[in-house]
Amino acid sequence: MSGVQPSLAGSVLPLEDIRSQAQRTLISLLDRRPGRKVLVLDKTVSGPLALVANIGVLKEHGVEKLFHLEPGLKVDDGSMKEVVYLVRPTIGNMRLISEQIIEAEERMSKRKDTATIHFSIYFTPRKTVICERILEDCGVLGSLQVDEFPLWLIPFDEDVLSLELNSVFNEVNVEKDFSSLYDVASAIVQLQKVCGLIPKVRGKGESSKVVSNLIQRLALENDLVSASGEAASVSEGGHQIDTLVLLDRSVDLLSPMCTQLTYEGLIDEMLGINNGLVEVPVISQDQEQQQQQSARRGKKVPLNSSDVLFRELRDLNFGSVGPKLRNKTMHMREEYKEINSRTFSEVHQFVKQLNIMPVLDRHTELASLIQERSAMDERFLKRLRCEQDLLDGRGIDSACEYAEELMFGQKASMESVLRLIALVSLVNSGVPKKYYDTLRWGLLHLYGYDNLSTLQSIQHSGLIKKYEGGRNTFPQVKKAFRLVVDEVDDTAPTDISYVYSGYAPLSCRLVDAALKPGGLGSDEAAKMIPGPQFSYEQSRVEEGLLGEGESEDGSGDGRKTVLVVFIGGVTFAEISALRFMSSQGGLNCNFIVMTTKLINGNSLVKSLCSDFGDK
Amino acid sequence: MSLSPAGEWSACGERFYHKKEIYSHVAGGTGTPGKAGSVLPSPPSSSGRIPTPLYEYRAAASRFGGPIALIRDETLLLEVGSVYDPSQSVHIASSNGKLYGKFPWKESVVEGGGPGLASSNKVRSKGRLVGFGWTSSLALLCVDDHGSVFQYDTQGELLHSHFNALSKYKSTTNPFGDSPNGAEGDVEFVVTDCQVWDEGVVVIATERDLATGERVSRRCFSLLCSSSNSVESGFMQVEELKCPGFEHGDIHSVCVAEPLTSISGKLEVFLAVGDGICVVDAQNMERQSIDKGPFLEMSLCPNGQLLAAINEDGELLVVSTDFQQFLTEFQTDMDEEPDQLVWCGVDSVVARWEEELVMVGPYGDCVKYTYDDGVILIPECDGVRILSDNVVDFLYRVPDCMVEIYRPGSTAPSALLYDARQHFDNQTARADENLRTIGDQLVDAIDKCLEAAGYTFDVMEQKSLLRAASYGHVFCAEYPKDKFREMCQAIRVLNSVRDAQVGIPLTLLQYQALTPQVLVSRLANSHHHLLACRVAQYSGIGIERVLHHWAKIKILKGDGITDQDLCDVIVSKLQSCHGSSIAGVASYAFQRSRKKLAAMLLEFETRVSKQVPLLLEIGELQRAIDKAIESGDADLVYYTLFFVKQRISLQEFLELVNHRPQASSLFISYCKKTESDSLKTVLQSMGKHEDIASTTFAEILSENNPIEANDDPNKFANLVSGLQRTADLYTFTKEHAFESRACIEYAKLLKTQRKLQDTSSHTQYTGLSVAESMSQCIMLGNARALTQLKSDFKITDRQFWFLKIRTLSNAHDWNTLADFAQEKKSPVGYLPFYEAAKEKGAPNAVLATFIRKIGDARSRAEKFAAIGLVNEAAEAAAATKDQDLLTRIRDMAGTSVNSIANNAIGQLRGKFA
Repeated sequence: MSGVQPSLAGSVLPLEDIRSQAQRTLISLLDRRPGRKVLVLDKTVSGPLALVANIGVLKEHGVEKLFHLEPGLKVDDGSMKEVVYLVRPTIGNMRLISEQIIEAEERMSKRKDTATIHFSIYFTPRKTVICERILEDCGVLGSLQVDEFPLWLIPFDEDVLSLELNSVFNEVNVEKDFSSLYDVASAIVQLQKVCGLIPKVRGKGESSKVVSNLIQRLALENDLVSASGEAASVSEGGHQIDTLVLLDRSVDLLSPMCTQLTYEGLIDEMLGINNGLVEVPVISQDQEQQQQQSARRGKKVPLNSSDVLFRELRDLNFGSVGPKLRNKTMHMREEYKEINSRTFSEVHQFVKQLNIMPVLDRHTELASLIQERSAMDERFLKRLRCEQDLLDGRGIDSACEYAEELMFGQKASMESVLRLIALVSLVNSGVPKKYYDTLRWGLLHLYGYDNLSTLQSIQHSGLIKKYEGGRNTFPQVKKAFRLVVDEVDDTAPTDISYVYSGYAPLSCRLVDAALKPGGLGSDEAAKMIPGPQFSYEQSRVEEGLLGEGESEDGSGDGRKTVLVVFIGGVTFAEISALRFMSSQGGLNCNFIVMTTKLINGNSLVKSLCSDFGDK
Repeated sequence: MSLSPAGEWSACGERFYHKKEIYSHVAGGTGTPGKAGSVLPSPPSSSGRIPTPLYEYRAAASRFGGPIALIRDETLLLEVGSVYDPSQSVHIASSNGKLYGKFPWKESVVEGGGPGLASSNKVRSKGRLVGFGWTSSLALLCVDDHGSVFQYDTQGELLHSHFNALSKYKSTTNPFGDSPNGAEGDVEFVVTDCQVWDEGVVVIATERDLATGERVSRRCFSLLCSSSNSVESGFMQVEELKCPGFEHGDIHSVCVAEPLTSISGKLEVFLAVGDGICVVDAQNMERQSIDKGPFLEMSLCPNGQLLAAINEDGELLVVSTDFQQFLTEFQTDMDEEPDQLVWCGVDSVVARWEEELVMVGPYGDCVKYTYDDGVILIPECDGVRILSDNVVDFLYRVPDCMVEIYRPGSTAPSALLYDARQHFDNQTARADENLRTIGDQLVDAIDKCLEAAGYTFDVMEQKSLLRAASYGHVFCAEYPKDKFREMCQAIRVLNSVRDAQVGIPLTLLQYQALTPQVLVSRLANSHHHLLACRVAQYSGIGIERVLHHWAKIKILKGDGITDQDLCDVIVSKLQSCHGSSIAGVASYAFQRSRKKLAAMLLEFETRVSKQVPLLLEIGELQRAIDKAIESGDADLVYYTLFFVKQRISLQEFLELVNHRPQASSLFISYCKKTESDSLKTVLQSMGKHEDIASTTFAEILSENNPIEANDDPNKFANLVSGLQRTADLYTFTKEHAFESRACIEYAKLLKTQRKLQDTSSHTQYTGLSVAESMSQCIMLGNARALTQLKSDFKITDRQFWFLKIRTLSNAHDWNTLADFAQEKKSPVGYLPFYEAAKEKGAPNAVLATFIRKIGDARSRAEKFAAIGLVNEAAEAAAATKDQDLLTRIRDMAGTSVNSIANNAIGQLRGKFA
């Protein structure tokens, strides 16, 4: 097993099958072109691809060179007669590929090569008319083999699936381009093909409504249900998923704007977790050396539940990670001391435990790094205090002033400044007038006028707006959903608010509400949040059958599986909160999280920033 | 009780053959009119039966009890009193003579089907019909002597535009091949023979020089039918086969070995040439070592392993197809050329001379049958159908199981069981006795009775055999029930399709070989839709295709019915069937130029991806766009938009799209990403002023990169004026005053930066933001420019102070920073001074100056402590009067705390104590 890929054996859904199916499909696509070949990957594809197929497999099937699709890439050097592109169906990609093919062919004709290179494009997850049209306009479609690699869902962990679509939130909320919602719906339908129709559907938000309509239609078109509404006969698994909860990110923009305080969340905030990997900078005693080395790339460490220790730590509030690690170490030491008085089998047990040593070492290193950058960093603490004051309902002015300080005094990244302003705007129904323009001008003056369009995008997305008077609904929502919980013990939590040390993510509270009998349809509290809400049954489930399964505990413990789909991204802290909810009993269910992308506040804001260079 | 069926058998060597009458009233006479409620439309011919006498006709019959086609043999003289049919109709009928349809052979056809002849769109009459036959998918292929192939369906409808396969091969011998006609040295193909088989036709043609009339060469082609309807000609592949030249002699007969059963696994053609036989395929021509010819007729055994041939001397030879074994040589004593030579099953051969039939068994035994009039032999995989003027007979070898049961005096277990049942019915004790005799062979006995029930045509016999089997079943618990049920189901299906109304005389073996799926589609093809549905449901096959066929026929025949009525009828049937696609039917309606009906039907299609393309095709552009949007599939919307855009003018297109926000935003997104020229036109027409402005902004920046513009006065001017223009665009809407001003400021910044650059040539300003430019000024000490920038761009004091502190700290310019701290009262306090300086590693002395200025004593104490100035820290802490803080600092410093601090602590202690 590759170290990068998480073991999925423990999942309640057959995710392992989904992954191996994806790998088989990829192999058959590669084998379609004979002999040695060059594989050119879209940058956004290569990371996720590593989660379903490793380099070794690619090599076994003739891939000798691997490139990223970049401007100026020359694909025709060397002796390879086959070039295979594996890309997302975007217009930008099509233009790059067309350019490369035309250039390569020109070079070949100049060199008077008799042998020609054969080009193929595999689109993932599907090919589109628009791409074919652009290839046609560029005059290369005729000489190409075009096919698709239907990689809809990438399993990131036993309970996390991602579509790895970077800009769904931006496309849907800013550009009003709903195409990615169709992809989300397709992915859900793909999953339903494997796991059976999901009987109950709950949802909140505009995009959720669209996706809900689409999956009903697609289920009909894919023969998952008959026209009369009855579930068509499904694979022997039957209804493996009980409830589908659809959540539009714009329903809860607040949570990603707050700094995540779980171990995994904080690692993501500090170092960034990409495709299940975190890049740990090499720590060195020597200051100068460190600076040199930071220029080099750090080592990449996989973070998933195959790592037993990480599985224990990931969802904890960072405050309790230190003691936990210390405990573990102490325990090991104790055991080691007593080793002389042990029987062989006890020694054997101990040696087995030693396996955990490298992992323990790794996490101690990682945790101390995070500690240094968070709990021991004045600025981090100040930011955190500022955020918590805002959630408590005070400190609007000082937050705005702090934002100004972040900009001019520290020249913090624009994302982090925007994130703070967004937080102000969200808890206050808009940024107070007296700060709104100062901050807007400040942003332009500091980061440059080019960012004018970014500002516009941010405003269109609803993240930041001007306070236009009227009643602020946030305090009511906060009260109804108990978003702020005082006196939370982060080390022995009783409520999900521990993931943000006192703030419970609204999204997870909504999931909780959705799972109550009656669902979201007429939930009064949820009505305070803009966007449609709905609850319905997709098929008439034979209640008797389901009931039987529960009482006789024929299939496990009778726990239901709930698929929560975050349209527009989900943070690690929210996933942790859901895991916590599941572990607390009461709900008696396992959560599977599906998302368009794993995000944090910075990456969400960044996805809205226009990039002139990359058009 | 009836007589034993064995009485009708005739022995041939050790085997028994049975010639069973399966249909009567084949032709004319008392044709049975269609019953009420029959699905079959009333036949076009007045009598509804095939014409007679058959001996005047050439016939082509399909296997598996399929339809037959008849055309009058033009070479025969016309009998006095009969009517001449100048159009030479081809009649198509069921295997029991019920007419399905007919079409005139002699009619004009529009040229233009064949590739290579595409240019000549002239009307030409068909040539002489060289041969015709049925493919396995029931297409009637007719080949005329010019080499054109025409395909008809079972109703006599022309399926495809006709196809001339040979035309493109003509040029190979002709250097001026591209001129279609009359050029010197041009050649002409004359088809001399053809042979239709399951998947295509093999054509043998002679090339003749048009000028001299001499034969140039002889060639052989294989044409394969296409399985999909998309191929216009209906043919997929034409392949030239090797062919023996004229020097080998004339070709007397042809037979085709299908790829499935041939030795090579490819299509092989057996040609009786001269005195011998040639086997040819695309690569090879092999002359076989057999010289008893010339062979006038040849026939291949259904399993492809044996070849029967009859020569001029009336000698019948049976050889293995690899020509290694000679199995039978039989002298028929006939000196005429036989009319037909066919196999009956896999072990006997039937030859026909007019009304005389000779059947030769494997060991040279023979049986003769004589009819009153000419008949037609139709080979099946397990026997021969004999079509005569009055009846249809089926000649087959009696299966072993039936021989066992019915042979007089048989003591086989199955015979005993059959007997036992009759005794049981007669209530005699012999029944039990028989059972005892059977003993442990009961399973075998039941098997045989069941099997025999499947083979027999007689319903009474089926019953008694099944009863015998079920009697045995009672005593045999372990006998699998499924076997029984399956056989009964098969028998039910067979009996219903054998019915004279349907006329498909399938045997059990044929049914098994044909498969229920094919049977269902054949039933549908012959318009027995109800029966087809029933058989399908009975056999567990989906009925969608039957319903589709039915719906298409409804449309085809529904000229007089209103669109609404037709739509209602079709939809009510099709909707009941899950998974059926109405789009296919709608598409057919459109082909039949019932556009309105097509549109109505499409309303009921649930799969949008199938609905939209057809809507576009029938010109329902608006609805197509709406449906595509409704589907939520952006790709489908794009497909639709591109399609529509090509059909109508941009103006009309924009009007269409304007009312549909989702379509317009998708189209805008496409235009943006492709940097299409029409983007602004599109935005303009939609009144999206903000988008126009932001697009212009992006455009100007990418066209005139500020950094490049630095060296290029032209670009610089463009950039500045462009920004001005953008600012104007933003003023279109009130709420974008901010954006408008930002653009103006941007231009102003660029101009200022240029000026600055001119004065200090070594510093780069371009590409910097306002704040960055100010930092630059701070570092250069350009105070005037700095003040100018600050006031021009309304940088607040707070912002300015933060900026200056950061800039100076970054530059490690501690003196200036300290001076700055003394300048006047800081609007941001002095903590930022300390923090920025500490971060950049300023010496403690510098830090201390900043700490001293911090107003809050507590914070001061902490900061002093942080840089290790314990005494100062203690002093500050003393001022806070916070005991905890004091204690903490004292602890931290240990004993080195000076007296003041100690005193302070002491005093505090005293107070609180």
